[in-house]
Amino acid sequence: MDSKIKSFIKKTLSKSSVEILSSIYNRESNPLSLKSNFIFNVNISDFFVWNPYVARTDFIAENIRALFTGKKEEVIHCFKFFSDKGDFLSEEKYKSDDFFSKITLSGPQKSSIYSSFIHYVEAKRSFYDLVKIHLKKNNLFGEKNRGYCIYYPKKNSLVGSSVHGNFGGISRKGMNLLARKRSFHLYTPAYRFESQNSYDLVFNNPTPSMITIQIMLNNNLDTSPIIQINSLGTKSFRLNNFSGSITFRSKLPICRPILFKNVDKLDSGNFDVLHS
Amino acid sequence: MTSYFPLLPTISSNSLSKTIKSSTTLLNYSNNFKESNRSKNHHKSIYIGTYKIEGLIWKIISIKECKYGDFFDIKRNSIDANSDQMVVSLVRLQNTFPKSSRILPKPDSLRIDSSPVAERGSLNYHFEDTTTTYQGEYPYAMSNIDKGSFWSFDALKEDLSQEEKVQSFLILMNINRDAEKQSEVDLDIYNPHKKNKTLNWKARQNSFTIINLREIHKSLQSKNIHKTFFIQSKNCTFIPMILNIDVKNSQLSFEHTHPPSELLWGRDKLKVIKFIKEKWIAK
Repeated sequence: MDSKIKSFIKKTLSKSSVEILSSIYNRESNPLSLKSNFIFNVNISDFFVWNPYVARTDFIAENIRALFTGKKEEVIHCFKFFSDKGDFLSEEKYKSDDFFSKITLSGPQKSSIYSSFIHYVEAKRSFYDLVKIHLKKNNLFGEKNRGYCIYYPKKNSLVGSSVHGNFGGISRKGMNLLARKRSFHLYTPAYRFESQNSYDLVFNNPTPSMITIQIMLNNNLDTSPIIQINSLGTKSFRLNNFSGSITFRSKLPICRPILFKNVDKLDSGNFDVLHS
Repeated sequence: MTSYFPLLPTISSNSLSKTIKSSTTLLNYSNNFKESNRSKNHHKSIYIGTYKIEGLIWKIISIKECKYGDFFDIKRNSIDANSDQMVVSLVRLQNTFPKSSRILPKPDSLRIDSSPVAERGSLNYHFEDTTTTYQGEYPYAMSNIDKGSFWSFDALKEDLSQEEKVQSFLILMNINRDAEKQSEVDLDIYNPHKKNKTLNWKARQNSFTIINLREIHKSLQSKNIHKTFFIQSKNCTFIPMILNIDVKNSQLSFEHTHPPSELLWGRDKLKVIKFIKEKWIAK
């Protein structure tokens, strides 16, 4: 957009109107639905990966109510698991009144492939109402349940590999999905894959419709596997004997898989997890 | 949104027989764009200048050409810089880097449209044969902030009750384009359940501040080693990162912690975050 028009719009319109216009103008790269500009008091979660191969997965959960009031506030941290196909599998709940909790997750029973989960909070009073009491007015916001997974490779591991969740925008019931497919995007992380390591590239789908992702090995374009993932589903791709960079082609404006390094060599000590 | 790419400090402590070394990896490739804009993608070499702070100026260490699609690597132990000296790499489309400058040159961007995801590099730590990576950057906009406040947590630290086998380090990173901005900054570290007992720590603008979290627990005489501590500053902002290491098994973990603003979404989220930050930081 012409910089003079941009400047005129910024001077003339309110900040929120500019944000709405911007999200319409950049619609084809906007990872969230346009309606997300007009809704509030909806709590959304990142989309976390459940790895069945590691010995233990802990979750660091924040308690925004306690952080807000500065004192203990009892909440229930809830975790809702979805299968690789996107079907609801199970739910876990943990009570806590602390600012942060480190929770060891049980995960889905007899799980042998990657799946995903969301984190949300139940409490006597909604955070929205709590804020309203203290700030004396309605504010347009919602909770965003972030948190971190810590994957411990072995039973006796003293250090696990930590990573935050993938882009989610998933409401607590797992029914209201704010993420959207747009036009095709090409995402290439500045990460050097090395042939001596193996990598599990784990993708999950936070949108309401099926997505297709093409994994383009940049120095070997003859090999470009394609995976399809149902809504709320999860798929992984095991990469061996490859050195170089990878591009992910999909209709997700943010298509950043979680990379698990050397899941097939958990005793090696060179296990790592990162958000690509 | 352009970015600087820091080279992290070397980590050492009495209980580590070897140091934990750092490196940074960049890629000459626009990281995210619409496929329909593919023709706009440049297929040319870029130039990567690496600067260190020396005295009150940014001084160039190296300029490297990086061909389209190639990686660029820089290792802390292969350059002429101290273990914790601020070192920053930046990308330019032309080979135009001043040899020294009070103001760090503005980086160019490889972006070709408004697709999301900031331009990032791989910030790596190495210990013996293992490597851990975090996709990170220091946003250009943040490097122009002279003041600001900071409130964060050490929630990603590991269980430090395993005597000396496990080490957790909090690394606070502040970069200011103006090399003369190197003021000392006060940090307050405390158990949120015992706000009256606060440990004062010194940090500095334009530097890495490395905090051994085991020492913090000893200083605060914390009986419960699992408790999350809060860290805050009234007048400086940082990017906080946590590095954990199991010395015996050489297992590393490295990740940033989200700023508080990431805990909410929506138009008025900053009003709520401001209330929370003021409440804690004022105490």
